[in-house]
Amino acid sequence: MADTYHLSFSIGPVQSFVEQARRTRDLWAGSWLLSYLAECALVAAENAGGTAIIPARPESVQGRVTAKGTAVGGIPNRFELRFNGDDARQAAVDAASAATDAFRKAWDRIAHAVFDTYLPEDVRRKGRGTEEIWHRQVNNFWELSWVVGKPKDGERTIGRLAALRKTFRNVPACEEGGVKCSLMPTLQELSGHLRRADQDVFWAAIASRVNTLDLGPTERLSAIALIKRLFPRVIRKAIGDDISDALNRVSWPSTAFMAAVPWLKELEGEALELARQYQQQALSAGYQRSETQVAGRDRVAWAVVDGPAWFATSVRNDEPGRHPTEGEANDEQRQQRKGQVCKLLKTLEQVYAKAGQQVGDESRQPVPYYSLLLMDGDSMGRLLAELGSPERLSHCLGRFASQVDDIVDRHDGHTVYAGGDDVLALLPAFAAFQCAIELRSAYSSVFRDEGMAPDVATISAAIVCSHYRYPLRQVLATAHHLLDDIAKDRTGRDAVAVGIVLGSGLNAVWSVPWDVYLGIAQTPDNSWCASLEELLDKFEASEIEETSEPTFNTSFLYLLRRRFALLLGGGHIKTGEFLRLDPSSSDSAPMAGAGDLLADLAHAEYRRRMGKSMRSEVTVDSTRPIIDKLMSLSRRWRRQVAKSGQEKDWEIVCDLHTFSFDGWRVARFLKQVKDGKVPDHD
Amino acid sequence: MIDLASYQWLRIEPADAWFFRDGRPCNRGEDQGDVESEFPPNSTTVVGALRAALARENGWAGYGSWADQSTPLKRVLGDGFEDLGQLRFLGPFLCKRIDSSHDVTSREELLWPLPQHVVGRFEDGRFVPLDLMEPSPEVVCCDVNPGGVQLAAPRMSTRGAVVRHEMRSQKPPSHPSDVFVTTAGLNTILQGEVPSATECFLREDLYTHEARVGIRREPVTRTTGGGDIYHPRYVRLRPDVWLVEGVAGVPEDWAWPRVMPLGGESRMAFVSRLDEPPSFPVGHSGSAAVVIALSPVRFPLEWWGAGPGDSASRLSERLAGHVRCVALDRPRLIGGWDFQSGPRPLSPFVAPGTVWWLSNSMTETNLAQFGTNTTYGYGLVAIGAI
Repeated sequence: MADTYHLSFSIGPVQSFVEQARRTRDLWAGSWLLSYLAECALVAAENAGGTAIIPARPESVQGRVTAKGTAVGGIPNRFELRFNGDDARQAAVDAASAATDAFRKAWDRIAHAVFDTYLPEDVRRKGRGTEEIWHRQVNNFWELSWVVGKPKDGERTIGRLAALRKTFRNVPACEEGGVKCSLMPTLQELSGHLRRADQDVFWAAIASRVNTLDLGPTERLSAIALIKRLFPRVIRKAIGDDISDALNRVSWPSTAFMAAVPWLKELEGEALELARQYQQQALSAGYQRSETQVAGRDRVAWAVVDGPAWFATSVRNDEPGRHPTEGEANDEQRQQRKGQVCKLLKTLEQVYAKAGQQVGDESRQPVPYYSLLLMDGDSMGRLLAELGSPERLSHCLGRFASQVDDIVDRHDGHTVYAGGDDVLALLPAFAAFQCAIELRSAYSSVFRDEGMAPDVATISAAIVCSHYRYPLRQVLATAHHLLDDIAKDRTGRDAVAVGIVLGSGLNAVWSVPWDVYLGIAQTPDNSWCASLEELLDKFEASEIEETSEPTFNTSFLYLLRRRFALLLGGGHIKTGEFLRLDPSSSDSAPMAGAGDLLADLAHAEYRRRMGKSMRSEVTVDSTRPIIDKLMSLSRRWRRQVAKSGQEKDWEIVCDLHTFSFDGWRVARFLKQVKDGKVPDHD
Repeated sequence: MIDLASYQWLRIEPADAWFFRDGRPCNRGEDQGDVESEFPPNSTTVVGALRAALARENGWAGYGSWADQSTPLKRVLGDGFEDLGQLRFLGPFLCKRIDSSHDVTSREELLWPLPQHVVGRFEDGRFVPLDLMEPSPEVVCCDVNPGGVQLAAPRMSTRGAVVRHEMRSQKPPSHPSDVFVTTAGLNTILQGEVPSATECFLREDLYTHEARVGIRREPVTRTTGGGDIYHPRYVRLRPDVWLVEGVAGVPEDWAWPRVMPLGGESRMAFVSRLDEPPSFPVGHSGSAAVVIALSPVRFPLEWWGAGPGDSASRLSERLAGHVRCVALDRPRLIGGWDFQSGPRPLSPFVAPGTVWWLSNSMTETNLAQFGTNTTYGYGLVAIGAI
């Protein structure tokens, strides 16, 4: 009798494979490899008679691995297929087996390509049990699981059964002895030696086959990390000759380069010419020619030197000179090197000076911050229920994903992953904000075309502005925390959470519903809000005497913070936390006038700074809205289910009893980034 | 059967922040921008620190092998990683002082990782448990057994809540990581009931991580050089939180340490003895329905001990019957450092909070130790009979 069964196939561990990354290329390699391997498994299940519903795939690509044609991964790590027929259940079980085999075959081919190229017999002989470590890790890393069943009780997929399978994580696990991998700390490094000197001999043998950006002088990697790091070099052998040109490259823009892009784009005339000369000097001094340019960034296609070379602090540290390729340097060589670095710095300072002349400043340096953007669709279960079929949902998500790379590219960024409702991209620090707004608009647009209300298909975002030197893995972890815990859980979805990561760690967290960010939120209590962009220019650093519009400069903001902290009984506020005016009250209706007390204080201080003569000319009514807007940045906003009887399902509320300095910190920082005036400390 | 009264109970508090680094290499001159701190520390770390502190207090010079220097030290403290002499340990457990919301009284409670079958949701910065999962009424065809196995599933009452919450675009109830429950809350769970939200604590209620930048200074020149900067993440306990460790086998006339280095960078800990053992979970004797791991458990065969359909004797030879279903997280990988032979292998342990549902199994005890490495304190489980 004809029947219908579904197969749900899941691949893990996503986090330890993708996010254990030190370089942007690690991040991309992990993300793309996972997507490619997932598609190999998916295609095998399709060829075994299944029809993919998550993700739904057009007929033209069914049974074909499309990942070979693009550098942007887009296949999720859980996919679902439908099987119809007399023995649909057995067909689904057989397809699961075929998918498992196809996954392992593709993985083995990639692993072999790296092993054969970089671990030949003469290298392995320098290790202790290297081959055994390799096979143990390669054979036991992946967690492949599946369930077969029927949707029931109005369900359209077997996501519920897949969730049940996750409650029993009997994943492969082995003992891992010895010294651990620099990238994946639960796995043994491949040399197998305990003594550092012995390890060095082994890793020097591999390093001699690659360049210093492929393998850092102190890195000791496991099999899995080495595959991630080196497979781009052997991609044709690992994947096949039919890959697209976009995939066949070994360079990825570094975080330093991503930070420098806006500054590089500004250079013109003499400044540009001098920068080109400096680049030649830097290349001769040992910096790598490692930055790959892509379409849309033609204006800086000339800038190929390793990103840190554009930052004086990095040049002063002399990273290329710290790890000489030919033994220890003698005194004379060290002096020579010192002279070379001084010359480099001098030229770089000249580039900064010329760049400054272009904008009327003494000097203009690149901002040492970039942004990592992570976005994820909200409440997919509800969206699926509203749309009525997984195929329709997949179709919409496919349309959205196909636009992501173009949008990110327009903002000088690089898409790492765009599949389903997920986006991961690296961008210049300030550009990430407008990019996120456009991606949100694109997301909502594809669902609006299908008749969905704007508050049904929403997407949340985390934007982490990080110093380029901060560990990428921790930036990623911060982005996930901001997206899941702050933007979604705490702010109520359809929200953006912003984190500022300085060299010393996470410095500020600010999260608001998107409508508040854009300054279009309508709140039940008519709380003021203004778009961040509108407010940003008020965060000017300079102090101008006797003005009708004083800026929100540092002394003004810190004075308010001190006074508010006294009033609210709190000294140190942790990043992302709020002080409360009245801890016993948690509703959003202000106490009689108490919520406004903070605004009154801020307003009084603001007017004091105007000077006597101006104060008499400018009315209180005209300055109060400016302060209300400023205060809106310091309060807790959230999106919540509307009380019954309301016209809308959702409402945005502002808790007037709360205060946090982080919103101001974020605004002040972004103003500095926008103006290109963020200092970099040695 | 565990005789809790045979242990001396120690309260261990940080002098400042602590540092329990993960397995990532952490050597001078290498990129150390990414050194994490794990918490709570593994038993091996605390046991090692306590043995060394006891040795120092009782005659060890502080260098070389105490076993070579003194026969009594060797007899009591053992020799090396495998031989703990006559010592037995339980812990380390997190402990918190909880102030009453009604009056000025407070109580001190051990905290346990929230069992895997408790589901709930976060509300206003706290975790609200909603239900306990149970073995699914249907068998599920999956890679564990295509013939079908029972998997942990929300009860019917929660399923209704799931649907309602999805319709309101809220996250369905789920099991969180990094939530701890008091002994009182765990007792409620062992009776098959949902604990109150006031018995649950988020990680950030108990401890936080601090990123710091450290610079090594040359002692003679007092200058720094290349590779001297590092970036560890410390763990800082809230003021009303500490660790509790049980130690058995220490002779009565031995001196106890008051301060000892614990974990990375030899950061200091204050040690004091408790007059009474802390309160441990209490289950009911009878037909064992559910086994909950309270500390990491190391099994010699499959790392998860026993899966659905397996004999319960694979968990402990004292258990009869079969395992119906298991709520199991990924393994906890535990290694350590052996001063005699270097890094210990990372081995997969069952994470605390794992739940096994048993059928046709009788038990007389409600606290037991399963698996291997039990002298280190591993393998502690609570058995609840409903």
